[in-house]
Amino acid sequence: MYMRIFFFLILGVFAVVGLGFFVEDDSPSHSSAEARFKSKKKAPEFTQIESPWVDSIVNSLTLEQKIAQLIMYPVYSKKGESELLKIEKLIKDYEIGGVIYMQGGPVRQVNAHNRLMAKSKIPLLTSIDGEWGVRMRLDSVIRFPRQMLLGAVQDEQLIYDMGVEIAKQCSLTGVHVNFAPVVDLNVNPNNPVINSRSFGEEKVHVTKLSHAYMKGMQDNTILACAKHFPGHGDTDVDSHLGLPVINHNRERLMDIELYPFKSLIDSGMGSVMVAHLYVPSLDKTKDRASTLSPKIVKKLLKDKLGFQGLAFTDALNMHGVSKYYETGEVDLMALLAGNDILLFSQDVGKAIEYIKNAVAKKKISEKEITARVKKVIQLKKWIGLDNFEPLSTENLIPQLNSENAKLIRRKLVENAMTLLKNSGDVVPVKGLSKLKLASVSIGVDETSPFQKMLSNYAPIEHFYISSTPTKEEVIKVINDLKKYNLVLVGIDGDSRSPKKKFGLTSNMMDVLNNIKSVHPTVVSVFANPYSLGLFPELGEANALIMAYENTLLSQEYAAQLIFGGIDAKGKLPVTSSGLFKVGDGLITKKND
Amino acid sequence: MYDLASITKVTASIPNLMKLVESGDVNLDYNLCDYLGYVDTTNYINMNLRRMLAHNAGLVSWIPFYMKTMARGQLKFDIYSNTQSNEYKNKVTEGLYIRQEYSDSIRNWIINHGIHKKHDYRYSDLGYYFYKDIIEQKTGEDLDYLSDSLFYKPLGATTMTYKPLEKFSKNKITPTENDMFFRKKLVHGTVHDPGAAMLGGVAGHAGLFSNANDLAKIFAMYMNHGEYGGERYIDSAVIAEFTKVQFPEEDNRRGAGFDKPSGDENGPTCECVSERSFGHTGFTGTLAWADPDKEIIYIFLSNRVYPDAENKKLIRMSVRTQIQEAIYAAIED
Repeated sequence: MYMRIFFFLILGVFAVVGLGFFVEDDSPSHSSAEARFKSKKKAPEFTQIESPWVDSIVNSLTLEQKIAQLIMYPVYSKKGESELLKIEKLIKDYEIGGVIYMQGGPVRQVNAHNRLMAKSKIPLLTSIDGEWGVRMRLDSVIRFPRQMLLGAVQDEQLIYDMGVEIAKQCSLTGVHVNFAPVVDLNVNPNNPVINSRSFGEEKVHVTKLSHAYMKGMQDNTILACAKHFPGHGDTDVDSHLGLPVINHNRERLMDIELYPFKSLIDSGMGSVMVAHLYVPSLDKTKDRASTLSPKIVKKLLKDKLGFQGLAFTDALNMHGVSKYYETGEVDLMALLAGNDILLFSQDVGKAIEYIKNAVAKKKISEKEITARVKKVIQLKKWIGLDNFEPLSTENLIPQLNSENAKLIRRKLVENAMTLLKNSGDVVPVKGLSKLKLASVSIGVDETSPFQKMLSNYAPIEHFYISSTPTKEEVIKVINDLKKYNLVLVGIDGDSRSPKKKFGLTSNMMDVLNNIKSVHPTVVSVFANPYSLGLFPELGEANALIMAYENTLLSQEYAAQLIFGGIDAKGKLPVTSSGLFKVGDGLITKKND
Repeated sequence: MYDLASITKVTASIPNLMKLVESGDVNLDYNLCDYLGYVDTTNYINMNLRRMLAHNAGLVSWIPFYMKTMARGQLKFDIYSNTQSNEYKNKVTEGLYIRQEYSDSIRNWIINHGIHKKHDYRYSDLGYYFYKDIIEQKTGEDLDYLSDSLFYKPLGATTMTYKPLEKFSKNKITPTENDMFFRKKLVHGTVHDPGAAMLGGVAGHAGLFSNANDLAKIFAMYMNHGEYGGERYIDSAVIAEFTKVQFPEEDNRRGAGFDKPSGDENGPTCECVSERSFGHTGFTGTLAWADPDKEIIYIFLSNRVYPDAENKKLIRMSVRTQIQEAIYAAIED
């Protein structure tokens, strides 16, 4: 039996809510999947709604009003009164159908929400980019881990639980559609825009976790969104800044990139976001982003894959589309391509004008537009907006930061810790009486949370060194370490930017190399897993723990893993280097 | 760090006694005289170890030893000194040292004291003065050294220690009582229990200090049937033997050294704990309780005797048990 006490702070009384959940056992195997699309697919629940409320609204709208229902405009609650006046004018002038909530705070957003709803004859449909919860846009809310860390988690029930909690966050802050999960398979270590936002590279695992996340939200009447269609995982260009090219052939796309989309559409994914990508194997038209391609949206997504939910464009202000076309023209092209909702429209008046003209010129029928509007109103009914009640801000922040949410976050981080190497079974550390333990945190300016947690298990001398140490500082630490016989090293980086080498420097590696040339070391990496490819020396430690992010919890749980307070259960979600492949991860098992 | 008071019993004397039972050097069904020759001529001659550990061997609850070293409210000057020397070796508290031979005097006061003839349940510290002797005689080592090297050090329980001022600064330790009667000063960093203080800080029933985290480690070891961090400390059968109710047919809830749930609201815990659970309380306002059925270790440390032992709010308000109840309620929801 191997067990050390593990550290779990109960900060108040929390309730663990039991939730029934199972994954349908019919995920299509890719070989026969295409043939089965039509028969197996499950249309999103909201598209099945028939209601007089829906019909009466749809029947009452003019063409302009219908077009406006398909537009979603950004609202920044941080910008204050002038922002709200601007949106209220758009509501008054055009009766826009929805808003996407951008940066701000929960209380400001709820106040804005109530005010905008009061001004709208037809209740607004609202959305947010909330991949790690609404914290992605709002302050004062608990942040869940990025999907790359979650990709290491093997128990999808935990991802479902997070989905439920994020749905709660959305409900409390007036959000109806969460643009999550990211279902892109990140196969490119240099991907500047998806990377840590992806569940990983392995299609079945990514699909399994995406399904759990989707179901956790949709079971609680928050619409999920699979993004970024047809797959943003293999680029090294940021589509916010340019038009990334995906050079894979059709077969490969069907087999790999499209696999999660196909499978999730079949199990009721409510919405899909179409990315700004150039995919010549699907549409060769020069500079034609996937968002604007009928071949990709209408033919592939809707006809071939049988998607019946809402297709959102990615933000239409992004350079991947905006730099090639006129304002308004982009909106029209996106609509013609088959998208249902035009997100982040640059100029609502111009967009409506362009689209109205196109209807006049019979480029698109009003009937087609009406069909899309009906889906939007059906969704509003599904959400319950036929009985909209203003939201309360009372007790909002504590509700958003509940003990249950904190518990789920803890479990996620605990389950993600990945032991990649363990020569001589040095982890979990045994035989404290014989060991002289030191710890070194590299890349910090004070004793780290990792070190503080280590101290709970054994007497340990702590040292730290910044990311830009002087030679003297390095020599001093190396000298100080002489009397110890096991050194526990924490490498402090970040999860995000491949361009910035995830916050790691060759200076930091020099320190590590100096330490491990003399001492047995256990190295914990608080950085994106692709850092293992950039700095192979990390893999030369006696034991290696991948902790994915640099947060208080990842630092604390890595320390607990070292002393056996928790099991190692995580698996690497991506191939990080020649040495460490997707699915790697040693299991340390507790016995009873 | 806190003065653990009687939790010392189950974190110093008892684990060492368990080791001796494991090695066959001690048998709980033998009597005190089988191990300590000096009780042969006293009331204590036929006192059974198992009964002593369950507090129903007839020992009196306590004896105020320090009163025997005072006259008219003052400490006797030939017994105590303000400075440490070979003669006045044992540190009672800062600036107060006692003649070492008073360790023997305490033992003599006990064995010359009467006992109750009936085997009624009566909680007593006195047995622990004897267990310390048994342990030290059988092993040839001091109780504090033995406990540290066999348990605290390998467990990584860095702060668990007797005589904490030898390792830690005062500001890491909470003060206990502002003692107006015996030491006539605030007790801070030395043991609160007068008897343990008169032994120089190392006793079988009191003297140990720790933070909650380190106390949890030794209880985790017990709860894990004697293993912790991949290393075995005590045989699982021996732990099972000590942590079970010793005399279930009598009106006695105790294990061997360990306290057990009472099954009603008058016990040391909330009623929510399982029957297999075990632990101990301490006079300074401490509680350590392990529940193998729920895998919960509950540690509550306080210095409720500050500024004086008459401060009984913690007990009156059932703070320790109410928190325990809240924990169980939270986990069972």
